[in-house]
Amino acid sequence: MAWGRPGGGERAVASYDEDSATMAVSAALACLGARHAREIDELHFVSLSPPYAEKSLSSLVAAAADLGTGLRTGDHGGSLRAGTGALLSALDAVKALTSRHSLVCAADCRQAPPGSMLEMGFGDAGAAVLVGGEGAVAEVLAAVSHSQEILDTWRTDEQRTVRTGDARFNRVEAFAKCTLEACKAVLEKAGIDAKQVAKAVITSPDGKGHGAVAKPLGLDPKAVVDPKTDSLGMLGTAQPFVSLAMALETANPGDRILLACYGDGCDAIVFEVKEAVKHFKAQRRLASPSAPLGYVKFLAYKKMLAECGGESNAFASQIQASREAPISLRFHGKRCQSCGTINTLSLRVCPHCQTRDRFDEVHLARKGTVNTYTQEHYFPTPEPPVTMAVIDLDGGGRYLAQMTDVEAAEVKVGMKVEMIFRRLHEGGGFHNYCWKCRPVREAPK
Amino acid sequence: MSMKDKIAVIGAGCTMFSENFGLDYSDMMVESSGEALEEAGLSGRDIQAAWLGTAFPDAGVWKGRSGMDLAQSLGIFDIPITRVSNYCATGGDAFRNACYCLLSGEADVVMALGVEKLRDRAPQESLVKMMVENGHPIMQKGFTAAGTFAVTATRHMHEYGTKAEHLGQISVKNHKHAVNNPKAQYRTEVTLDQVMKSPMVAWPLTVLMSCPTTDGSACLIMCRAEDAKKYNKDHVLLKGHGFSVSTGWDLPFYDPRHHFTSYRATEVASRKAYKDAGVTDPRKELDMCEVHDCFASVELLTYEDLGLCKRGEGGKLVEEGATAAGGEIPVNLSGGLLSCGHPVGATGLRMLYEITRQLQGKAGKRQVPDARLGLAHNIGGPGAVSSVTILGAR
Repeated sequence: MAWGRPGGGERAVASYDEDSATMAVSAALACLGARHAREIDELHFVSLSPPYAEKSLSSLVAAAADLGTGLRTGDHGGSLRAGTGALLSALDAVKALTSRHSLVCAADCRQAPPGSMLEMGFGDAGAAVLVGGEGAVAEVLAAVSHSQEILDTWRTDEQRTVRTGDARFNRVEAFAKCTLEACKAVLEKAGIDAKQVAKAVITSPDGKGHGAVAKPLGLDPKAVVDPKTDSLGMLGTAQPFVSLAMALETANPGDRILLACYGDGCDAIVFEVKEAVKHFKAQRRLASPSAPLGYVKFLAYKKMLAECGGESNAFASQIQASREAPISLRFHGKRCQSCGTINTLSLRVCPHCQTRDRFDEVHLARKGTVNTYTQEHYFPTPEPPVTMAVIDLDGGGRYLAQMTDVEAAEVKVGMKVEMIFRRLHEGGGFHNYCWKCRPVREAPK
Repeated sequence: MSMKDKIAVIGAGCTMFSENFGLDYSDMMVESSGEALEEAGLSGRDIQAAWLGTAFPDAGVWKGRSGMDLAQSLGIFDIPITRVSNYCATGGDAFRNACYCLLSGEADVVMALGVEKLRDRAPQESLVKMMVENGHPIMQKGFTAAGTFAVTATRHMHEYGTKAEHLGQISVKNHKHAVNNPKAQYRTEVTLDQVMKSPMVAWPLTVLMSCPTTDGSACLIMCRAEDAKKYNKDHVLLKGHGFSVSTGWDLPFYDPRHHFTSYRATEVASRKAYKDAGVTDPRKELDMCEVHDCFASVELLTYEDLGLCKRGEGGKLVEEGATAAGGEIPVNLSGGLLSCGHPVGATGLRMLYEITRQLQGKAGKRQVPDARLGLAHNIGGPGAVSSVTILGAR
């Protein structure tokens, strides 16, 4: 769909209940898999479109990903290069033994002026990279950073949408020169020749500038990783990690991968691929499974329409939210020490055996089965009807949640669902997040 | 201790259950209590204690937060008046507390009055808005009242093969009954096709399977049975009563042991009421029931909870016509909440008004011949609280 602009292609669009924090949570959980969350000593959240201008999102992501509280969290932004900046900091921390494992989560849903080329060109995505520990799929051979003060892509503190200046100036003068320089320097530092680079990820602010560096650098054209701008869009700070994951999926042990990320300067890193890459498969998740998104709905999702439905004036209390974080954010339940029932309400007395205050806090499974459901046609939402599902969680406990990323007709009693962290409403003048559920689906190609 | 035959209803009154645009909260209280007082031959000064049932002052007109709203409207002062709020079982609870007072001997003539004024606001500004804007910021967010009752229909359909059409048949039946009730909001028959094709509210419940937003008030005046003849020779007697809170507002949806195919509160309350009244086979012994059909699914589950049929056979019961006028056990001859609407605090007392008129033989075209025993049932919250009252003819 091209929304009245020349050319075709597709782009990834975050659903109405997603933002860069919820996508970072999903990416973090997919990246961690079965790994023990308590061994993460650092979490970096990277975004140019954080849902709060003042308030840490890394701490929110750490809580929702259930990483505990004994870790260092940091928020990064400012330029498209912020993701690799955080990655380099994480590598330093692991090298310095101040962190056993560091998790870098980059996510963006950048806003473009309605009707602009950028609007079609941007894509929404989140990605996570785990640094440190055993079984690495790649190791860093060399890294170089160049800083460059220049105005090519920006958004002031009063602008909602991203602006870009002159396209030719941006690509040739701002992006290509600086990136080429950094790439040369890092190859020299790694002691390798451009021809020895098996895969090259070169991110550019317009999504298509990689050729302007690859050719003069002398890279094998086949080594250059296609950023998939025409199908995914330009993914902001998540771009280098999404492209790196794609490169790793087809890499062989011993390959050298060049990652160059531009944004007010350039970070260039050379990786050597390790044996573990043979088992590497990036976890992919897409929010919207089915029908193409119409432009009006897109504008509603992006809150670009003055009246776009959805709940208004819902009651919310920052104090209550803080008190209930164990269940509503960390997704912990309380198992009764007497009768073993897993309670998912913040109760002090077990409703089954009346035992008072004798519970063990337990991690609830993020998967379950629909016991019963309904579809609410009168509850205000941008995507009616609201499916409300009663879920029997694997391993015990019951939870009531909205179902998202779903077509009404596919909901059935007995269907398998996974819990997913999403935004619920803006009551109280802040973002109210919650755990929704969605059908378990095959990963998209 | 059974309450059987110890309490008499000596006066009953009920306003139009409709969009009473010309009446305010106080006007409706004056009308319902006026009819009841007149029947009992009493004036407001004779009432020695009163219970005022209003469930949702915040969704309505900010009236009914206290018994003082009854005192001011009826000009009854210097007596104890308690405001009762217990979701949709509010009316039944007001009645229950008034009866307890009589049995304690603290008062000799008492009033239970329910009133709710919802239609000074647009329907979606009252009860729907309450769910959207108030309540817990996360838990149950996305539900309206319809949804909390729809999930029981979904599960019942899954476990017993009940069809959405069974719910439709309940709506058809109750709307047909309402044609004979001059106090009902809607007195027009509907076809099954109309019910099924009316706009979806909360799947599988359509608009015509859902009660409308309504204003209304109902009032009962009671005394101990031995005093009844002094006031009204045509009184009716309390035969049994049960009331139970069996889960919570949130708990059903978060409790792994909860199943969605019955309302335990109704089972508990009805068993107590049957025991009081000596009823062992309700389907045969009761002449009629008024049950809480706020949504058609609730009437269907309630058939089973009250023991009118076996578990899972609610659909069959309505299909056979057993609960229709002239059937074996007619249910909601008034038209039920689906046709009368549901001014929450008033509904339970409106049902008792209906049963009273039936037992007096004064139910007009709705009259069940030789009615001797009738049951009124409410359920409140997500099926958490239930009131079951059995009245009998003298």
